[in-house]
Amino acid sequence: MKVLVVISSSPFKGDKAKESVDLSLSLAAFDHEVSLLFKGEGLLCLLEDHQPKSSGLKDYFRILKALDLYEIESVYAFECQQYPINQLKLSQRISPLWCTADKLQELLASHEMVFHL
Amino acid sequence: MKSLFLINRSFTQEKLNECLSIMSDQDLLLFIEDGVNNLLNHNLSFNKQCKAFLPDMVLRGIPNTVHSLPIVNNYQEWVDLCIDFDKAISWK
Repeated sequence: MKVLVVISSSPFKGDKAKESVDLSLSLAAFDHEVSLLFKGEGLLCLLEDHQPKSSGLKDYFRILKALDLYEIESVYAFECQQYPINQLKLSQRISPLWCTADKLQELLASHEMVFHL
Repeated sequence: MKSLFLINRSFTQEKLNECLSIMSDQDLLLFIEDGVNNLLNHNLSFNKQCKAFLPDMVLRGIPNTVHSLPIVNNYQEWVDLCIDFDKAISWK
């Protein structure tokens, strides 16, 4: 099944972003064809300079390096004026494909199931 | 009386203006937690005294290049602010 997981929560507000990543990996482990979409505050997951250890937290976004191992190859980021992060230093862990509203509609239509925690 | 306003989430300009409009010139707005994400927003403007909490910026990898706000460097400075101001108001 083609599944789209949308991450729109801040990486450090609650567990939604982390749980969305965990959900993606679990679905991929059961042979679903998973795509990831970062939007809104979820885009901040893509910044390079997170320093979770500075606040005694675990760097759970290291797991994003493993997306390839789980055969999650379709990673998208929806441009957002509020967070123009494509002008900043982005994580080398993943290289998302930047998409516009038209592409977003296409993505939603082309997946059989969409999860947005 | 001077108040310390605290914002811990992302705001739109409209919502930020609600807060700024009731602040006096003596008051201070401090961005903490996810409030520091506002520092990335080119569309926001701050016409009152504002500062950002450095440990939350470091944790999130948020640079201070867009608005170049003054910084509160650590928890001790934050506590000093709370003592210095008559009251602290968390603005939602």
